[in-house]
Amino acid sequence: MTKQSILIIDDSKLINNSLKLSLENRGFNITQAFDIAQAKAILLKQEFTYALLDLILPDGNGEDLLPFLQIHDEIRVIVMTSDRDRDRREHLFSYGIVIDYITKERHFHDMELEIVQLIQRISTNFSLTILVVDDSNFMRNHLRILLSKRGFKVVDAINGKDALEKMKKFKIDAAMVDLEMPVMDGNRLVSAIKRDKANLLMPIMVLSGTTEPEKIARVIKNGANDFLKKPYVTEELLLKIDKMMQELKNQRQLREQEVRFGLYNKAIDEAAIFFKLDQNLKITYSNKALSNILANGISIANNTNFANYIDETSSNSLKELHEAINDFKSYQDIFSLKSEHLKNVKIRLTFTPLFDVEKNIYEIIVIGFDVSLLHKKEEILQERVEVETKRNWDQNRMLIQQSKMASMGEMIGHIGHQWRQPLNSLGLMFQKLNRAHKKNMLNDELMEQSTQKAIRIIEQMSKTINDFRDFFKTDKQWQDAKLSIVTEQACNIIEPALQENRIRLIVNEDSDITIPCLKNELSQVIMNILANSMDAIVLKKMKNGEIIITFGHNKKSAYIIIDDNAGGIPEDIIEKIFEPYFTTKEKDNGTGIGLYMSKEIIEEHMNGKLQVFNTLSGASFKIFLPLKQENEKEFVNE
Amino acid sequence: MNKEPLILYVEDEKDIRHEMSEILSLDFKNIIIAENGQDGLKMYQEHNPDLIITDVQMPYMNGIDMSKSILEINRDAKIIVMTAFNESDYITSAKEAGIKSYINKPVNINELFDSIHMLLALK
Repeated sequence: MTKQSILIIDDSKLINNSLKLSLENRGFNITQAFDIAQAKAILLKQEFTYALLDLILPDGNGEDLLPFLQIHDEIRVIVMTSDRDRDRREHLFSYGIVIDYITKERHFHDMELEIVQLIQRISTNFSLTILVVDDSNFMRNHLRILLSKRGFKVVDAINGKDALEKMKKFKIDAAMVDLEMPVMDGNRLVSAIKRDKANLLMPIMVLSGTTEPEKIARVIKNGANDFLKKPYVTEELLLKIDKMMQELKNQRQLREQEVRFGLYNKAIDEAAIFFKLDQNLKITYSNKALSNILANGISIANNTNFANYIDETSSNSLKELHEAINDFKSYQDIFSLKSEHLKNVKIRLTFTPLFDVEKNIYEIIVIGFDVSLLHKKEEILQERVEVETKRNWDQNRMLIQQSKMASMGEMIGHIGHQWRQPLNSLGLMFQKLNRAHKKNMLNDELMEQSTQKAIRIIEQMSKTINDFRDFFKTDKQWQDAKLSIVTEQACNIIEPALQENRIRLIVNEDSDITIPCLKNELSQVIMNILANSMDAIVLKKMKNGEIIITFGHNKKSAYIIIDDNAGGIPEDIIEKIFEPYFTTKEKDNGTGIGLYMSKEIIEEHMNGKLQVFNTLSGASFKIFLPLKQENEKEFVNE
Repeated sequence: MNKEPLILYVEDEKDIRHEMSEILSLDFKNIIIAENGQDGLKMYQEHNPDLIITDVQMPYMNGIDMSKSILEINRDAKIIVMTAFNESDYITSAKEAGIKSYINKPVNINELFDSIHMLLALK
């Protein structure tokens, strides 16, 4: 809304300046005039929404300015005067621009307040429409001007019937009705309006020249809110209208608040459980939310014992509730309640005992919230976590199992390599003895020599089995072991396979050191990496395959580095080789677990680090292990 | 009676070599032994044996490469190759090279002697 502009015309500098100051503070644009001439000059150039007009001015009567002000259609004139001559005051209204009088001779603060209230009232009148019903053209015009200047919208009608038609077309907030009219008089109109329930709040003022008390009484009985006898004093009419319309505004505001409050109430009633108990936990009041949950919406009878609704699983909470109440304390807990139609109802309830000065509990207020859904969600979440955990655990177990199977397969493979030659030897030996016997060439010497040799070979084979069993036995205990021993153990196992594939194995010792470790697991990791390098070399059908193991230590850690010359690991998969089930090998050869388990063993079991890099010639696996273990916890493998 | 045949046996594995030489000596008096293909080729050139029995996988020169070199010298050289069942690649290349006979490991010596006698009987 644009700023409202006010022209103050008053010769008293004190009043003029004071009004200017305080109205400016309230956001109005103020222009001052101190006499008629000055006011005229200003009015020639500028439009105003309001004029405050003092009647007694040095160069003439304020009334002389009214015709001049009349030129400005929109202007509303508030006359400031101490003149109490009713006829004179009534006369000024006939200019059609005077909207009210402000009485002078008062403290100017009151004047200012009255002016501001008047302006505010007018600005809130713009949304209201008043129906003027009168068969007199003059009266209709008079009221139209008066009410329009007062800010109201005006619809007029010439009789009751016309009025009812107009009410169908326009939204009418209030009516001013003449009594004596042709076709349909005011009394019948008022009855017709008020018969409609929608119009119960609509204020109706009856204006009539009648002096018959019965007529006045009847129309008021029929629903009119006020009566004013014609001819009336305009100021009185305005006062009554203001009062009537203010009441309407108040009523509407109240109604709006009621509706809003009702909505709030409904929202609260649906969201929150509220009920009251007496000292013996008997229900004395319960709201809809409670009956919705416990009784499928059927209201719960008063005097029902609330304890009846509490599930056995919450009996402990009930006991605690009794104790708290006896202590005059509030109690809050989640209760499982028995519902007629719902399962697993969980309500968070707060019980607050109200007691008088003599500590007599007269009422227990209970407010609660349904948390069943929340509980259910939590349960689902919990279940999901359990399922997930179990799945991870299963997966891990499977990995360990698979890794064991893979190890076993490797072991059998390696035993095969180790045993092939001695088995061949033994086979040949028996065939030799048989052939010699048949040729009568079997003598004591050959028999003795062959037996000794067979025993030696069999002992060797037996030792191989023991070595393997030790090697693949999972450590349960930390032990101190030399890097050289651990490395040798791994090399011995894989050596026949390397030899078969013509791969050279070189062991470089930078330094030897004893470290705490899970010895066999570490050996297995080394062997695993060696086997991996071997496979890479075999896959490339290389003739000069070479694997170099370098071990040693620095201040912080021991290291074992395994380099091969098989060309390295492609950069796009080097990140993935430690992931479980990742393999580049064909189905029969790779399980994809070896390197994953190796990393697990080094990093999770032994707090070390296993990394892989590509060198110029191939892959380089680096194992770092701490020289001391923080806590050599007993590691129990599956 | 014919002249005693000369047999060249090539094997890198000590225990097997020892055992096989004892077995061969049950039937044959003249046996020469080499520990790898390179030595075997050299001994062939020096002694011109009647029959060659060789292992496949050996250092320096494998049995197949050695056999190929011998066959280049003498297209009719009598060679028995002893192969493990997982060395099918070698068998293929042995056949391509013109090697007449091969025997699977572990060796059945009756089969071996049958092959030796059969090859020696060939003109």
